[in-house]
Amino acid sequence: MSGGIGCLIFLLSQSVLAQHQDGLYWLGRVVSAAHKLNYSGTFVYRNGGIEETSRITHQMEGGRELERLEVLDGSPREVIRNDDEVKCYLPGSHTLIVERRSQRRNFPALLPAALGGLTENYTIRKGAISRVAEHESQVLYLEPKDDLRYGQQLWIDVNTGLLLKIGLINERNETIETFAFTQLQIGGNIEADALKSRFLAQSSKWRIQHVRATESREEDAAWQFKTQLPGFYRLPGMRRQAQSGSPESFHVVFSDGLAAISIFIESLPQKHELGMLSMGAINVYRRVAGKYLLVLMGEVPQGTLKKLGDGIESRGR
Amino acid sequence: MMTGATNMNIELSSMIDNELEEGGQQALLVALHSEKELRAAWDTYILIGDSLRASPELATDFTASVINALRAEPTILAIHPRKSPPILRSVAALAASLAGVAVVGWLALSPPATPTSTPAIAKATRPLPAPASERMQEYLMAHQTYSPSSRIQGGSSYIRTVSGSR
Amino acid sequence: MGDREADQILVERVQQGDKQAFGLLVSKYQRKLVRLLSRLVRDPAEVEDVAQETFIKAYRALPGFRGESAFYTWLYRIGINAAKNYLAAKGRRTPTSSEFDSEEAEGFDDSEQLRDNNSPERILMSKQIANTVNAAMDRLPEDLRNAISMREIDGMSYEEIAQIMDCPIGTVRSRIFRAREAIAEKLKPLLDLAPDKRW
Repeated sequence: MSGGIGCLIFLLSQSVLAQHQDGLYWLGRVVSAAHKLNYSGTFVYRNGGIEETSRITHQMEGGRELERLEVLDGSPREVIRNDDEVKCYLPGSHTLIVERRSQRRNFPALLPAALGGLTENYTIRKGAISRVAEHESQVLYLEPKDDLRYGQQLWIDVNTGLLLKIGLINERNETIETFAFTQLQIGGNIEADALKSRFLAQSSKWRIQHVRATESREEDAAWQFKTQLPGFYRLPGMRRQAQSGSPESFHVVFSDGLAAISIFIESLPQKHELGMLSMGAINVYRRVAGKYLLVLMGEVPQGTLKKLGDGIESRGR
Repeated sequence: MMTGATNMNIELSSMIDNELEEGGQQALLVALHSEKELRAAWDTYILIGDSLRASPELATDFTASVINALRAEPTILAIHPRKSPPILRSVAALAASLAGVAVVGWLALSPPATPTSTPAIAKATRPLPAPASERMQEYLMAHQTYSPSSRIQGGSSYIRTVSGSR
Repeated sequence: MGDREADQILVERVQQGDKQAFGLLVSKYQRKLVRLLSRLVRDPAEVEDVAQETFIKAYRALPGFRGESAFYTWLYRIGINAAKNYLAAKGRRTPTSSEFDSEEAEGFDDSEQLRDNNSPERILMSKQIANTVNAAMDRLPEDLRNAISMREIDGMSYEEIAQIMDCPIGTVRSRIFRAREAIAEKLKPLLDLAPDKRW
């Protein structure tokens, strides 16, 4: 009798395992496609009252990755990525922010193999097949196992594995943010001009903010993160150095493989805002710790930010 | 100090925020009964709060008018047996025998007030001030750069960066 | 202690014979009530009358109020009825939207229209108060400004604010108080112009 039940339990757990394996396979395809494929398309970003249409172009050529994001309606803004260098063009304030990501930083969660860790915190479930931007897509659900994180729904192109649509789902099962392609061309050649910023010429006269982030283990040791957030692991912190004007800060990232929480620590500035703030899907929590200002942000519920933020303490000094 | 009357203004400020222990409340209520300046301070503190919350009816101020109208109304004496000290009960009995005071009756025991369990985190709707928002742009960008979501979604997750600049 | 418990203490004070304590509740909720009633009663000259009548009706019904709901919820329902009666007396149809049945209907912003029909003096007074408060806020030291913002705008408790500002609760209490005093000082000239509003 017990053998029979044991066998049944084994079979059930096998099917959950199989489901996860299948889901992980699809996720692996998504991560791979995002980097390896050339594609160009139009997508709509929805977040509460905001609705924005943008164009995105991506190219992988000779091991070099190039990407351009351009907002089509509303005020013009752009982000250009060239391997590890990201440029953010803000014509509204005549500012160009340039950040070079630390080369040595190999974010463990980015490797397809590491996606396996996701199943600790999320249940992966396949949904139906549906059409998005005239492509057949497989729906995949990532359901959070606790209330520290949000859930996600993905629509994945059946042929190439490219992500066609994604929705972020909060603790009340409401979709709080979606990105969805309305038109998409996969493969083929990308013209060089399509990857250049339209503000290239003008921006030479703008305020250019160069930021460089480097690992900083000494600073790491100076801060204590007392809150144990299950499922989240911490990466070594980075010192962010700005060329001029903008203040220096220490950046620590916590992640569960899908969601990330950034903590920026800087000397308490003259003017500073405090408390909880919602920038759509991203929540921001700011508090004081001694002579420092802590700024926490991430696509996680406010409670998660608060729990983490309230447990940060400096070790002496 | 604005009112100059008493040093109870800081207690008043705490009471407005529901952060005064019950013992302190009683003393303050007694003071409010007799001190006009303290009541004026209450009004002003409330007005400041309403203004910060962008209430459009800031010119509304009819408390004096209502209190005046209440002069014609009977004084209430409705006793909560669980709470009132003995003296009020005898006052009630005395009042019952006086003309012009309506004793409105004995109330059944009310259930004790349940304390609120966890503090709610309010969702702030304050707009970002200009210099801080530039720093926020930079932080948002850095956050996206190191977040796994940008690896799954590709560059489209950066839209969060730029849309924050609205 | 939350708002509900604090209001209950005021209510009980009134129920024990302190009529004047009712004024504290009027002061606290008058603008909030006017804002909500103005969506039913369009005429700004009338909405304050209906609001005042609501408070008087609430006072009369107070002996029967046992705290089974929050005071403001109870007040709001009396206000809705008063507004409906007013509209019926004027032969006007009551809007049927169910949103009026919830006091959380504050999100619906009709305030623009209200201002257009309001008297110039009232509009000016409102603006002057708002400008004075904002100017005073800008001049406050950072920690006072943050403390009062988190309390009044974000609705945080002293404990939450203390956590965020990394300071004792007593310091939070003091900062909020000093912020209020500083702003009140700037408002004094404006408010002294209306001595008949004192009670």
